[in-house]
Amino acid sequence: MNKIKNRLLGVGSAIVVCMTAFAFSVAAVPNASNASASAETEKIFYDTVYFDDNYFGGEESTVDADYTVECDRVETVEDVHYYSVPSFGNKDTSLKGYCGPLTGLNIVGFYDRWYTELIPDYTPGVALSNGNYRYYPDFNRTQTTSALKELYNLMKVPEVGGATSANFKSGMSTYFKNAGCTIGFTSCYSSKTSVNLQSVKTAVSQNKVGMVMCGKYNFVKKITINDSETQVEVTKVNGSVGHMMMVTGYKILAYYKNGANFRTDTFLYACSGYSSGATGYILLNEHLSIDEAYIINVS
Amino acid sequence: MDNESKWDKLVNLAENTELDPAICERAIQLAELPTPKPVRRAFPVKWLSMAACLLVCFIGVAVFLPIYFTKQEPVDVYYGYESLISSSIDIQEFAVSNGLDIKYYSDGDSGGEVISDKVTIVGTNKLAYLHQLLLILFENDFDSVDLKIVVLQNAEFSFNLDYKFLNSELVSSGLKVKYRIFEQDGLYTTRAKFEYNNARYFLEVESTNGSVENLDYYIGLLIN
Repeated sequence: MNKIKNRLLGVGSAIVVCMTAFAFSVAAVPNASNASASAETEKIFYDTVYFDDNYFGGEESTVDADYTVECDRVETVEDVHYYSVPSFGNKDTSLKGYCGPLTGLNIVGFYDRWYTELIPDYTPGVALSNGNYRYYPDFNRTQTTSALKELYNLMKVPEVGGATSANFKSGMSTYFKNAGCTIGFTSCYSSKTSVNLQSVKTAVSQNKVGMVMCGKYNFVKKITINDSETQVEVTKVNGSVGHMMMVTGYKILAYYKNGANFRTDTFLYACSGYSSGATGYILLNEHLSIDEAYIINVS
Repeated sequence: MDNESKWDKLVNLAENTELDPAICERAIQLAELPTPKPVRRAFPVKWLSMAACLLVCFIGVAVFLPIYFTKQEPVDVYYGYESLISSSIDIQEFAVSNGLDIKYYSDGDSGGEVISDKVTIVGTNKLAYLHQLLLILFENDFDSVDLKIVVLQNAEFSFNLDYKFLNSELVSSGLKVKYRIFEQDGLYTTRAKFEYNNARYFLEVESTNGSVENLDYYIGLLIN
């Protein structure tokens, strides 16, 4: 009896020690830390420090947050989007915290179609014979990289480490004024996790775009629906630092099982503002803290 | 009547009993055997061995487990975007100086314009893949071709997701190609993948022409 007791005691102790050691080794893995930029009163929106193919930025990090929805069928309730939008990236490793300027460049690039002095000597796209307008992919042209650097400085990013809301708006105002036009920001904010979709819909019908400034955000890289429309895979990352993105529409997906709608996802079409210039979506009502949301008016 | 006391009987017995010499001899031998002394240890054996086991477990988990997981590479290593860094190159010079026998687009191919990057792994600076963008302008339209040439073996990247479900096949320029054509609003995105000389090629053509012939054309432009 004593023998059994002693053996149990030994095994139990070994298990406790192993778990403790494992916990320490896991805890020893370096964690991503918040950016060092100080922002005691104003929230700073910044982005990648390293240049890489897509996301991630130095001290800031995103985590994978993919999910899959199994259903009997999926229905696209509404899909409001442009045929094509510009989405610029950044290859200049000397620029840091540039999501604000990149979002600004995306807006500038979009409106350059009508206000051609926004990016001088640059044609943003081509009008197709079917009536649609197709923006060129980001070819890292000197005209657009110069515009990015100008916005970067106008938004005072080097001083602050990112773009504050006030600096973003003032920087954009100056940029547009220098090009001979005026920019205005009309709120389409609804809540911390949503925007006024009707405002976005109206904006798209009027050849306008929007933008969001988020304290935390998610970015959906891809929505994959299988051939039988019974499975939807959403490839998503969650970011926990301030980030800005241009918004160009929205899509609502409803999932059904046994004839009943058990889930509905609403996505905003978004240009990532990452170094890769990728386009994707923002999932509303999920890992999102919208501080400000606007429809951009240019005249 | 027996008036002898028990004591008297005992004495009587002792005086009148004959002793067996062999038994006496054996009794004397037994009396002379040394008494085993108890072994005194510094610590109880069971506690010492338990402590030793725990120490070995601790060392094993705390030291070898992290080493194991950092050194061990699965067959397919996944490199997320945070692990990659990209920079512009002259792809012809790069291929020659690195002894890469690869196919790539050149400026002027089909009247198009090309930009090229090398993508390396952060920390090791190992070449992961080469990335090209080809832009071909037409009168009122354009085609864009995104090409990734993966030279790193046993590696997966985030963009691999886009090439997961390619459900069609064709033979183009002698190569077996898997592809799929996606369409939205009359704009076609054709994704294709194939292998050439131990490198994996991932091609994405964005065009208002979503025909297989268009894909075949761009593969031919690359290979031939």
